[in-house]
Amino acid sequence: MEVSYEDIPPNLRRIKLAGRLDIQGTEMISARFAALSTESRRNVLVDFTGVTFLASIGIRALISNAKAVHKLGGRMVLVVGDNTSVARTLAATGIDVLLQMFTNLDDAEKALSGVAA
Amino acid sequence: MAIEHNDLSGGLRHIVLSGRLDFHGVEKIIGQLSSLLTASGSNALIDLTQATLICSMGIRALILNAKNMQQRGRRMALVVDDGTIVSTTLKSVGIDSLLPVFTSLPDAKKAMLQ
Repeated sequence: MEVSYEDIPPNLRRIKLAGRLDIQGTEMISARFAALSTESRRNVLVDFTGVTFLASIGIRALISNAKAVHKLGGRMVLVVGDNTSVARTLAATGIDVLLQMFTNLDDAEKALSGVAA
Repeated sequence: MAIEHNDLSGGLRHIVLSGRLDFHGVEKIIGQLSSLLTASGSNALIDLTQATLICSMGIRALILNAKNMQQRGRRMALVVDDGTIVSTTLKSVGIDSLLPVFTSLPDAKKAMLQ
């Protein structure tokens, strides 16, 4: 499991997750994922296009970080690209009701541009 | 899957879901659950102590209805017996960080009626 990020001016952080978000994968990145989500006090775009599997523990980490971002006055959105298996899991559990989900990175960035963090 | 409700004094609707909250179970009760939550104008307590299983669709139904309630300025909480499959599933996806989850009905009533 890998996590990387890029800060996009003026107030957006893109966090890219790659690999399996199963128990082991989530444990490997959860502290860094949480820190990256909140430390910059920016809006956060979580890129799931490289995630090959998403387990409940990964969903839990996502909800927890989204809540932390929201508490700081920011917003979190998700990009799934053409990753249908992850998109289906997120939709099946209702995460798409809580967090806006995009198939296209540009659309996600556009949705967050102009949203104060 | 069965759904029952009773209105408690103080403006709290107690909704009991019993059986399997799997695909068929959720399909069977989803309409009634939404109606019961929106029609009363009260806060709601969803009692899952008699639910024997919850799948992703059941989780989606809870999240969707909780969000609707929140948008209407109302509260929704869950009652789940500790150590059950339902409790473990809800904890594993982090529902307890979105909604108050109680393990005892009296505690839930007390908290929701405050």
